Amino acid sequence: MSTRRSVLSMMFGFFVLGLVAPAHAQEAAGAVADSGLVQWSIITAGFALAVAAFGAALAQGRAVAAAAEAIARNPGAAGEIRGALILGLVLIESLVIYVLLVSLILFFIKPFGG
Amino acid sequence: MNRRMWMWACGLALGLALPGLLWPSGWRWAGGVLGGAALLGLSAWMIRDLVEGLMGRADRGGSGGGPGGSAGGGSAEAAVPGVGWLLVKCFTRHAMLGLAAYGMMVRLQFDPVALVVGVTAPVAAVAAEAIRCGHRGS
Repeated sequence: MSTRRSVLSMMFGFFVLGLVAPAHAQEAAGAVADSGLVQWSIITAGFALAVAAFGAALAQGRAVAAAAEAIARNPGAAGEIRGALILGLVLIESLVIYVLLVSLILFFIKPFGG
Repeated sequence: MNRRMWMWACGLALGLALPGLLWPSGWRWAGGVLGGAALLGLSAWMIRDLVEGLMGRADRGGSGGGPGGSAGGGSAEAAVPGVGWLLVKCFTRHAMLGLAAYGMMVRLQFDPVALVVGVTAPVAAVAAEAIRCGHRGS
């Protein structure tokens, strides 16, 4: 019962999040382009991508090493370990995709003007 | 990734995208959510193919006498892709993701926040499945 409640409450939260959509359809008021702020935002985006890629590489390397060790100890469970490995790699990758999207916003959408 | 998780992910992505269709310019939101989910799905597909391809090749190479050997020609390891194609997938994975994200955000003008929400949908599906399995196990 508590499982269903927690899952339903999470889904309701996401549905409410989806209802915020029209707020993002508002055009931003004309803002004076601050060239310094735009330049710093682009530099920050570049560094953010580099740090995210570095962190993801470390994490994925550790995940693969742990999976290889687990399979070596218990070859019969290779299928389940493989599934857990793939799931872990995808979740790590999702964080890099977040940073990629924010960086693309700073590079091309330029929310601070320019 | 099991089937239930994929169904949860698709359901959540659709549920988040549908409210966007209620407004006149909401197609940007709906497209963004579905595009974000598709980005993570594309990444998951490529990772799964790479891992299963490499481990399939390792299984074939070490199937001499191990307990998990597939000397009998199991149906699960029917087609193992070539090394060249695996390497192409491995090294072009991030370029493809970047191009897809650029196309959706800049060319198709999808809502960027919707893209981030769309990427979150499969992650939330995994969390929901983990909660469900955790409660079932306890």
